[in-house]
Amino acid sequence: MTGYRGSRSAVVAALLAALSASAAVAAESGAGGQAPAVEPAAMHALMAMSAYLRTLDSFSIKAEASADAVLDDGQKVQFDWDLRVDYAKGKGLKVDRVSPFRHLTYFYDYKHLTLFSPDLLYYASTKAQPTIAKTLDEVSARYGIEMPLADLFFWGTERLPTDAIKSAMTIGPGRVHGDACRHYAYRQADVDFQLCIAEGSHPLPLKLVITTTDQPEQPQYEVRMTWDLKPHIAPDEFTFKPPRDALPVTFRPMPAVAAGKP
Amino acid sequence: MALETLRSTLLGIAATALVAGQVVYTDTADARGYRGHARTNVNVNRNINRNVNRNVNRNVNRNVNRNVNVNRNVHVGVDRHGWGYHPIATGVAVGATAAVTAAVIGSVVNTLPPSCTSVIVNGMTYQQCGSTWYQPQYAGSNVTYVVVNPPR
Repeated sequence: MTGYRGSRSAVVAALLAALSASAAVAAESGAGGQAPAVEPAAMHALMAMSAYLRTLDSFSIKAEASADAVLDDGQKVQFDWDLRVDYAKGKGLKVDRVSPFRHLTYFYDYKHLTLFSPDLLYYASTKAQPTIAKTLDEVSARYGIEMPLADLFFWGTERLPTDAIKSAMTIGPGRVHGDACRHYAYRQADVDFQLCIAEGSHPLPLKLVITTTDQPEQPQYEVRMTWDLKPHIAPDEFTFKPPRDALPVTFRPMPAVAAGKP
Repeated sequence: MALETLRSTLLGIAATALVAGQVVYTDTADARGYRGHARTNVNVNRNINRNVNRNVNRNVNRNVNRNVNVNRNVHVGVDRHGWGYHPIATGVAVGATAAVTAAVIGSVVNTLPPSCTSVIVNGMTYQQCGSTWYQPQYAGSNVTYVVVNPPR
């Protein structure tokens, strides 16, 4: 990939710094109790990955996701989905989320965002913002829609203040689907996340773990990704065309919107 | 109304009545016997979501907790919404929904009773289930059904 010129050196630098920094973290953790600081190498790796993501003209991801739900008595159970993401810059984004019992597809073509469930046949559309990040922000606030792997479209955009990261550290080598990656851990105010970022000139996230820290049970979400940077994407893939038997429905507004609050 | 809601809840079915026209957001997870789930994004605009979820949890848990010993199905019904499914409980849940909440306009259910017909009125889909009409909606990334007056 030639798209992101700084990526190779950035990653190398991150790795070198990580080696010494992870030793420091290990030593520090022995002392116990102290909150780890923002380690420059781990931040650098996050920034390099984020910048690299924004250079990609198109990609396709196959991923397996697992998420904890917390039952009333505190017991955690885990659910699984298969995810498929197709993206082409300037054309659109399509995300499939498939569980054994529900298939949901998100279509974004820079004009509309549509949700369609192929098994229920319901679809709902709303006008979209000119960027994916703005659209996702809007539909999240307005309708509570959270698109799987939305983070991939926030990292590396202006919308993300880097000072949101309260702690960053390098954990060490990782491996996802047989590919080598580097494992990092980050903390924000109400969420922890971990990334395993591919080594080499394509610093892609191969694994993402999100820990919800503002719930006592700290449920986790985990995604393992397989990337294709030369996907075959049909030009009309991103515009939803309702099948003959599809059923138009609405999005239910979130209460803050319904009550007229900002 | 309160009794109706309680009965439905005891049967493991969320029937959330609308209060004075205000939309009560029953995030599926919260309303149906699970008190939370993992976030699936780090960066999504979450101020609003977070506040909402917290409120929902608090309001709903009180009802939901009562369910736990009555009918373990509640946990399962929830899962119908993208968090998975529990096929065994389906029949029970569906029957109970039809029996208890059919007439409460504004109730939100996660499952339709059996034998409904899709009807499109003015470009919007309704489900007619006997004499009760439901409007399917995407609530977040899940589908819920609001009991409505007959649209025609």
